[in-house]
Amino acid sequence: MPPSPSLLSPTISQPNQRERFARLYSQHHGWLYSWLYKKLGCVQQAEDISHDTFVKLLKKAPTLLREPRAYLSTVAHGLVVNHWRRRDIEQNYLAALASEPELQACSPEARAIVIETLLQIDNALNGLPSAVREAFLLSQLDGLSYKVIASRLGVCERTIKNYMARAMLHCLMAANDHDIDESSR
Amino acid sequence: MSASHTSPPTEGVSTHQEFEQLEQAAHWFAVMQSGNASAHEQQQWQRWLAENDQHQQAWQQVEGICQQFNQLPAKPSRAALDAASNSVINPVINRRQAVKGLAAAAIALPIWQLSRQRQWPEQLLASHLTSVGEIRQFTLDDGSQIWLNSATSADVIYNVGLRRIVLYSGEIYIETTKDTLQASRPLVVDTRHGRLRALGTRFSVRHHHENTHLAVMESAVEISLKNSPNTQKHRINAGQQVSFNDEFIQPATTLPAMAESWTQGMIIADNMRLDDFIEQLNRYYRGHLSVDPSATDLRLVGAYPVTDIDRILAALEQSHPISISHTLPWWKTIRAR
Repeated sequence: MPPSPSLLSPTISQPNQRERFARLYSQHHGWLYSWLYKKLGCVQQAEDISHDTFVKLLKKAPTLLREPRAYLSTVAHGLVVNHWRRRDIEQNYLAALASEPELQACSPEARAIVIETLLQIDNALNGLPSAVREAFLLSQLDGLSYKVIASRLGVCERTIKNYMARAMLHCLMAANDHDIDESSR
Repeated sequence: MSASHTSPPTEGVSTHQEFEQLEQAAHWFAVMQSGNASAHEQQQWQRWLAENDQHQQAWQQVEGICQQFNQLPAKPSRAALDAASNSVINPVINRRQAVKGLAAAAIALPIWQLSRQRQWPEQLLASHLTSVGEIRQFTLDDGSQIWLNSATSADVIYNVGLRRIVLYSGEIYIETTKDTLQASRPLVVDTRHGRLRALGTRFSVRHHHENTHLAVMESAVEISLKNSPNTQKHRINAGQQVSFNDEFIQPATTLPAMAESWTQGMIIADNMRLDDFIEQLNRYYRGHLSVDPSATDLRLVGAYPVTDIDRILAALEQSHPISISHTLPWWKTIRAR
């Protein structure tokens, strides 16, 4: 989807910034698109992600880019990774659903919301040590008590409490980052 | 509060102050989620919450995140998240996965050790336990009362969005109260066969291996079967009892009077068959009581205290045409005389 003109209005107020962005777009969009197409092998996905890359750039509105292509490819790479994670999550979720007949009746919308939520959670917990992530999921998804989690992970209950605070802080920070992204869209 | 391992963010959360508030909210989440926050901690948390709007906003975010988790179907979500964290996407993640592998090996040992024991670790480590012949009563954090019948294990997991009781074995009886938190959290009992949602009520739940038995004394309880072909909920009203497994629910029947008398340590027999009575007694008996077919049809009336089974048996032998033989020291058989 090509960016619509309205994208340019909300965050870039100064005329020269707007011009700068328009120039950046016209100079590098084609390059970014073909870079993504080579990576993904799909016209639609390459278009989507190059679009999202520029939207992200627009929101951050960096005043001066010395290496615009390095910057763009870094941002785009992050989005590609995200895209693959989403695909992984979706495929594995649907595969696991096959053994949960009562959930198959859910509407496609409800399913899409679940997958989107899972992606957010995965992103939020990304970068946490595996034991912290595991403890948090055992508590929040599987509903186990700190005591049981502590024995599973071979640590004391106090450590689980620290893990929980740490994982929640990660989620809160991700949620805030996300909120700020959404509100400026 | 202990220092966090996470460094302050460079973007997104704009100020150091905001970060501190989120850090405090995360700390209180971990305390409240533990399910054993002391009265002092609860007061401190309330005070923190009342301190200013920012604290309340941060706490609302915590609740929002908890609710997100509550709405996810546990098993497939878990599968999807595990697969995502294991997938090989780029070198950074490869390296992380190698570390994860090591951590998994370190974790594997305790689980393996536990699985060699006969009972499930959850059952052994449950927060609320009774042994054979023991009946206990607890008051939960929200003021609700729970009674555990003989040989029962259950976990009470109260978190920010849900009051959850997991019944692994035995029988519980619950008298709910209105939640102490501002937003009333649902109270549910989970067994291997499904979820029971209390609609402000008194009820008992007994866990058998092959099914779960629900008796509702007041108001109503809603059943969601674990593997039902549809997501339909079944409402069971006061004065009804019902058995269900993970797929099917049997027709409800009328609840006998005083069904919760065991919470007072009594079995109330109102024209009860001897074999049914002995089956009840067996739950409290360290050993085995059996009834010979010659005596099964005998009927009993009365209130019997389960704390002294040998005395009950001696009294029955006096008042009814039965004899009790001691096959083995721990095995008694009741026959018609």
